[in-house]
Amino acid sequence: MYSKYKPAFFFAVILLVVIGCSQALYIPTFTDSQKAGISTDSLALGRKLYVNNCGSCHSLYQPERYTGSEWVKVMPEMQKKAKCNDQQAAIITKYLQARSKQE
Amino acid sequence: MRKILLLIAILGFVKVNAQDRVFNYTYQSGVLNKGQKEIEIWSTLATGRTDFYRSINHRMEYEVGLGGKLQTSFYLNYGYGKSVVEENGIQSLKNDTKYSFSNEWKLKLSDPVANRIGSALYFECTLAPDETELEGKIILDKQIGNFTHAFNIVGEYELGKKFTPDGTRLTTENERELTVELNYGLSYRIKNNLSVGLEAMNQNQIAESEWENSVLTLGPCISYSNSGFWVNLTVMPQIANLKGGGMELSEHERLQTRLIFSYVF
Repeated sequence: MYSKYKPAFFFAVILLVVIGCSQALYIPTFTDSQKAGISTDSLALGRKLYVNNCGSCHSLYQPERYTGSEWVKVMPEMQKKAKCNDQQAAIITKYLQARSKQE
Repeated sequence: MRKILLLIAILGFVKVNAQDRVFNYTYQSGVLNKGQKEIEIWSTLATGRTDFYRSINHRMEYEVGLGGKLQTSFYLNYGYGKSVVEENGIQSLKNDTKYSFSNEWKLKLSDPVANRIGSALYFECTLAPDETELEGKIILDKQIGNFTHAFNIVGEYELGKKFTPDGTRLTTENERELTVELNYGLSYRIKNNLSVGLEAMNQNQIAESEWENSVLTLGPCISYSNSGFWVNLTVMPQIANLKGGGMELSEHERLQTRLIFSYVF
C-alpha cells in the first residue's frame, strides 16, 4: 500500500515540512504600533494595502529584508506603479518600517 | 553616490522580479495585475521513445490580468514530430502535426509571502480537431528567503477520437484518458534576476479504469529575468516508471527540454 502511493507520500511530506517552516507576513501588534508611532489599526491597514497594491504586481518582500531608510527610498517609484495616494504610501511605509532590518 | 547606487539596486530588484515565474512545468500562485499583459513563447523538445522519436511542441500564450486576483490566457498550440511506427510487422516513418487552441483561467487564493502558503486554482480547456482536453490544477507555493517551493496537483481528462480503416470506411472510436500529475519545484535565487533549481514531475496515466504507468521525471531548471522579459529553461530526463520498473518509453519520452521566453508589457 505504501509503495503504491510512495510519490504522493513523498510530495505530501515535503509540503508539510514547507508549511511547517513557513513564515507569513506579520500581523501588527501593540508593540509594533508603539514603534511605528501609529495605531495598530493603521498598521493593519498598511498590511492590507501592501498585500493588495504591491503584491498584485510582484512578489512581496518580508519587511526585514530592507532597512527603514531603504523602504523610504523605494516607495515613491513604487507608489506611482501601484497608483497609491500619499496617505496610503505613508501607511505602507510605516508598516514595513515597523519590522525592518536594523540600520 | 553610494546611496544612489543602492536605490538603483533596490528599484532594479523590484522591477526585474515583476514576473516571478521560475519553473517551466510547475505553476506558482502569482497572477498578473489588472490590465497587465504578457506574451509567452513555449518550446518543448521531446525525444527518446521506443525506436526513433522526436517532437517539438510550441505554445504561444497571451496572458491578461483581469483584477480581483483573476487571470486568463489564450494559447495557440502547434506541434510536430517524427517517429517509427510498426503495423503488421512493417515499420514506417510517421510524421505527426498537431494544432490546437487553449483557454486558461487562474484564480489566486492566497499569497506565498503574505500568507502561510500561497495557493491558486487553475482551469484549462484545449480544443483540437480530434481531441478535447480539460485540465484542473491546485497550486500551492511558498517563498522562504531566497527559496521558492511550488507544488501542484493536476488532473487532466482527454477525450479523443480514434479512426481505424475498416475496408473502404473509417470506423471511429471514443478514447478517454485520465492523467493525474504531481509537480514539485524548488528554486534558489542566486542573484536578483537569476534563479536555479530542480523540478520533479510524477505522471500517472489511467485508461479504461486501469492505472497504466507512473512516470517520474526530474531535472534542473534555470530562470533569468530582466527589465521587460524573462526566460526559463528546464531539462527533464525520465528517471523511472514507478509502476512496473525500468522506464516507460512507449507513451513518455526519455528526455524533455522546455524553454519559455516571455515579454511583459
